[in-house]
Amino acid sequence: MNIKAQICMVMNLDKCIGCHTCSVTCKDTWTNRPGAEYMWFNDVETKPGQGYPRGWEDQIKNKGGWELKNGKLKLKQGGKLMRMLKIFFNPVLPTIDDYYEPWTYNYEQLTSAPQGTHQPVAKPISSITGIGSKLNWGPNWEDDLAGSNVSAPLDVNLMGLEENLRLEYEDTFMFYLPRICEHCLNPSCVASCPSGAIYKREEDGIVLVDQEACRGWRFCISGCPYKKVYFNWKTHKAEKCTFCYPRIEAGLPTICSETCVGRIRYIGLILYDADRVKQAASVKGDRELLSSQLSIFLNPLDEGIRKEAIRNGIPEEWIEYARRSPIYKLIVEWKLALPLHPEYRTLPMVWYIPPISPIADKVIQMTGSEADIFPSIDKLRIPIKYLANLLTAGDEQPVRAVLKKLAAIRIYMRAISVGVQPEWDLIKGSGMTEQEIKEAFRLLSIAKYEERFVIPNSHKELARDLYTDQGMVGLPFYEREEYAKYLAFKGKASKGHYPGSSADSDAMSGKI
Amino acid sequence: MVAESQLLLWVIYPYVAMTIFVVGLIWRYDRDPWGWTSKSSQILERRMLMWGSMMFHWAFMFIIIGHIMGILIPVSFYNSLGVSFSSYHIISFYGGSIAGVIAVLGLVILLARRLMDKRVKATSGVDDYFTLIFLLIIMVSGMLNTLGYTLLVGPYDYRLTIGVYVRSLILFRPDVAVITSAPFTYQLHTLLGLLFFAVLPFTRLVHIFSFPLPYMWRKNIVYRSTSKKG
Repeated sequence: MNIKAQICMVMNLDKCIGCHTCSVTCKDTWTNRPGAEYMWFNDVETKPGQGYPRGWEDQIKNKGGWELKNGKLKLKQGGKLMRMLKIFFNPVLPTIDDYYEPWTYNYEQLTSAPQGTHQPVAKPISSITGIGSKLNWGPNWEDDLAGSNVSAPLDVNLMGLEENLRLEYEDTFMFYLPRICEHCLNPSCVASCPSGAIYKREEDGIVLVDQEACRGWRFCISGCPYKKVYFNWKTHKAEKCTFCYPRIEAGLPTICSETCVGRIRYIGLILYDADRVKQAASVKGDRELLSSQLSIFLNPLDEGIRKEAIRNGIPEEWIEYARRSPIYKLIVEWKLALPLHPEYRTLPMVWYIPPISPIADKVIQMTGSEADIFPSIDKLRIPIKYLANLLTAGDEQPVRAVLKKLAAIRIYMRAISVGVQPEWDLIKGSGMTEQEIKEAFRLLSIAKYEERFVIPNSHKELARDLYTDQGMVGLPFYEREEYAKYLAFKGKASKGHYPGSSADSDAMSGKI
Repeated sequence: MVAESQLLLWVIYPYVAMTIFVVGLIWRYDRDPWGWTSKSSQILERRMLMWGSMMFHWAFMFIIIGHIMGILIPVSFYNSLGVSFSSYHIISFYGGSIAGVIAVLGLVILLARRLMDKRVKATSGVDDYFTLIFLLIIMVSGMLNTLGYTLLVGPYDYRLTIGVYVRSLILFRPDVAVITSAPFTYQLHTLLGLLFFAVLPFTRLVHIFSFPLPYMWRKNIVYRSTSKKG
């Protein structure tokens, strides 16, 4: 057994209001700079829809992630040799048009236009070429189903749904899907990188791109099935969501989670057996992947696991945090959260609680009785099949189980607050105990800050080479002077001048 | 006695070029790891790149093999295998011409792409144009020999002059006499070839040395520790 700790996230889609605050604060923090304008480390998609980049879920075309070939786990975009032959031209790399050509507006026109009969208009201009650009896609192009009569029929998650259930106006359904990098346990971007520049951090499992080692071979971008590695057209290197590691290391949540107005995000630790990752990703059927991934998560409350984890170098403080992890409860104990597209076989570590609100309301209206909820769960507005295609490789059973639990929580809490007897049969049928329902309600609905985010401090102040490993940070320098300062500092640091020198750390944190 | 101009051209210049090549590469690797990339622009334009890049790179690989065959491997080796000059020349002429023409065409497509595509043009720097044009000049000068000299003058066994000279440089015993006896176009290509090495560390061409061979035997998932020495 090789126990590793993974920092992971659960998003409660039931509560996402699609406000894009996560996207905006993430962009302001990380990708608000030339070459990265088109990158959204966090984006919020309206489902059904093609998403961003356009059609990212279509792996027949994109060839992202892994597949099982003759019982062996292989990258979908081909073996190492095959890809080396394609290094001069990557046939499955998206172009900027699949994301969108970044644009700004010609604001000056508003004040400098000569007097005329019409109001002057600020026209969009491309941030790449500086000339007028036609807008035909973007990170939230399909917001609230805008234009989805055109684009959504190509959503691959609609496959297997009855034709009339899909997008008829009367049957329209929608929900929001905020997406960040999955920081997978079996990341196909890492396996795709010829330079070994993308790596998984041993300590917390965050996947980062070493900007000094990246050579721009682009295979990570096509290798990631979630299309969450981006190519900076200015630095010619790959960049991706860093799980806000500087904040995580200090015990703070990511910026997208911190600023989430719906309080839908949860962050915590999961302990898992790294030796069994490959085996778990290689199970035969796509629908077995959910249970195989669950099987490698370890119970932090188990004394044997605790001892083994300490032997594997995990700090005791971290195990305490793992024991309080909201993630462990949501994913393993209560089984309320499900992974995004487990069939990609990357063992993703950002999971989702499927949405119920628009469903239950309609059901209650229809039948007028809460007791009818469970049999009616199949007649919900968001088709279970759609959620299953998104979250469980098409297996409806786990989705149905989660929705039943969410319904049971509501029924129980409603009964408590209006002062009637809860329908015990229903609650028992959901598979949750009364105690679990109370806890889940507190975590999901009250959602206290310190209960949503249980993040241990990484104690970077104790780390051996805080500054010499600066190249591993995952973001590039833009200004020549900043880069020179960094190099000068690195030179000094490697000569051993840095430890404890407050002047030096000020220079690092303030300027570079 | 070697004339001073010849000494400058065929002894001092080559060693200066090679010194710049070696020191330049080390300097670049150490000082500019952030700038060491293949500078791919595929994300901005893919159709022309597919043709230009594939044609140029693959042909370039064959050209490198051809240069190793013709320059680094001595004639005696071919003689011992019983390969006559006429049979060597057929391989060299046809192989070299086909690879050369494809490479030149590829470069022309890449240059046209850089000048024509709005996005690629907007993101191009001096380095990009310089590299393409410089490679084009060298390739054309090479074709002056493989195609031009052979068709206009006749077959020429460069293994006996250029090959001997280059190997004498590598062994630090420069043989100036043998190179001065070679035809002018061959001399020109040799000088430009040396310049290629001197210029390489300062262009995007450094990515040649990052060709990811170790990837072939690397394990799939890379872990790095931030607290332990990796």
